[in-house]
Amino acid sequence: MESCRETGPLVTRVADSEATAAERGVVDGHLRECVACRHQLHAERETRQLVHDRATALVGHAPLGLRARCVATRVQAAPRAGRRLPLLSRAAWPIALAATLVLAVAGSAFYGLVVNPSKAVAAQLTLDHLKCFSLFEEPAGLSPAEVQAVLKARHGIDLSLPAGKAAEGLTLVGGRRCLYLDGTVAHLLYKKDGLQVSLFVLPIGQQLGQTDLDVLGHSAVAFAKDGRTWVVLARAPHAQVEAIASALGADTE
Amino acid sequence: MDAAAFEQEALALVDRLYATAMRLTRNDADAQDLVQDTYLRAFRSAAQFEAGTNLRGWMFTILHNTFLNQRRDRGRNPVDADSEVVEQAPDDRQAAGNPEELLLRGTLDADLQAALDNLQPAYREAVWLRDVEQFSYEDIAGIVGVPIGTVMSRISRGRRALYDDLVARSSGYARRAGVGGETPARRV
Repeated sequence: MESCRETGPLVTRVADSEATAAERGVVDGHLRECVACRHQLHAERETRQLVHDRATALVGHAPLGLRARCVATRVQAAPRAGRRLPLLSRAAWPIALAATLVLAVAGSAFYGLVVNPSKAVAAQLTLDHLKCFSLFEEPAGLSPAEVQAVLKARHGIDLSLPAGKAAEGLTLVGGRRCLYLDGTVAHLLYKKDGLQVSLFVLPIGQQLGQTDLDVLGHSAVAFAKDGRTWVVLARAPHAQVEAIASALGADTE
Repeated sequence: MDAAAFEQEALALVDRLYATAMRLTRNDADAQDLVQDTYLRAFRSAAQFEAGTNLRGWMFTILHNTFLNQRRDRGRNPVDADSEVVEQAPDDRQAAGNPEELLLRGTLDADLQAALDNLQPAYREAVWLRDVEQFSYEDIAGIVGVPIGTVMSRISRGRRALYDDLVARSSGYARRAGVGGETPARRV
């Protein structure tokens, strides 16, 4: 008699009705002597039939909006000379796409055809600031330590988020990873007296040609910290954003 | 295949890819992100797809590989689909009870979903691709990137584990209902 180990794969083929006559003969001979393999064949047949019968219910339907997100990836997948758009999560795509189109038109009119790279990056960060606050804000606030741990564990972004004096008046309400600038950008969302403040931490090696940027009605201030470029951005007068950036920059000193 | 036809055929698979992504990630948000990422990669690589070949298998392969990459990116343990531990798991077919008495057709969809989710990831994916998606052994081997023998072993063990789980659930219902242990208490 063939061993169970030798017959095992053939039992699966028999359960799937894919065994040849010869294979079927081998299995039949083995099953006459082996109760365990008879049980195995029975179990495989029953399970296969059950799952097959329920396949339609098991597959079900994808959530509304997912198809739109997938369709939207065509735009992102199209070859382009510039940088990639951020890959948003969940239901963000329709809104994000609309926002991108509106602001892209406004942005191109504003900057003309020759774009200053720093301003282009700042414009992209501004778009992300607008989109993310509409989608990911957690009004109750988040623990910086927890966000720090998640960014490190899930995305390999090792940051020391503002604490103590630097964080005074700033409430962390969101944190996520953005995929652009040929790398991974950490985006921290803060609230300060009702003002929405974004802190972007660019990948190591990414720098801006300018440190003070005003784009699309927003002010952005860039500075170096912990070997990376940090950018603070908010829809507020430049001096106010600079004060926040100074506090954050002073954190490690 | 022209771009429009490619997109149309690819997008027709959203439901099935999402269902498979749910089996892989067991989390709606992650499953949606995984499917979106899969389409992004598929559209970027559309030029590499050979017309007349198996688009469905190609998309499922991208889904599988994207899932593995995401898992690695997140710094978790390498997905155990490739773990030798899975292959070396004890085969407990000798411990068979008396399943002939139990009618699995009475299994509730929710129980089946839960039992599928309980399977080891490698087994769950193999059973899903075979019994729900009806891929051939060869296609599954290509999608998952393992030899056909390994695919068959995973299907076999996965089905058996699923069966045992469902039998245990049926027995549990019977005991709680005060019914004889070998008769299913709940049937559809």
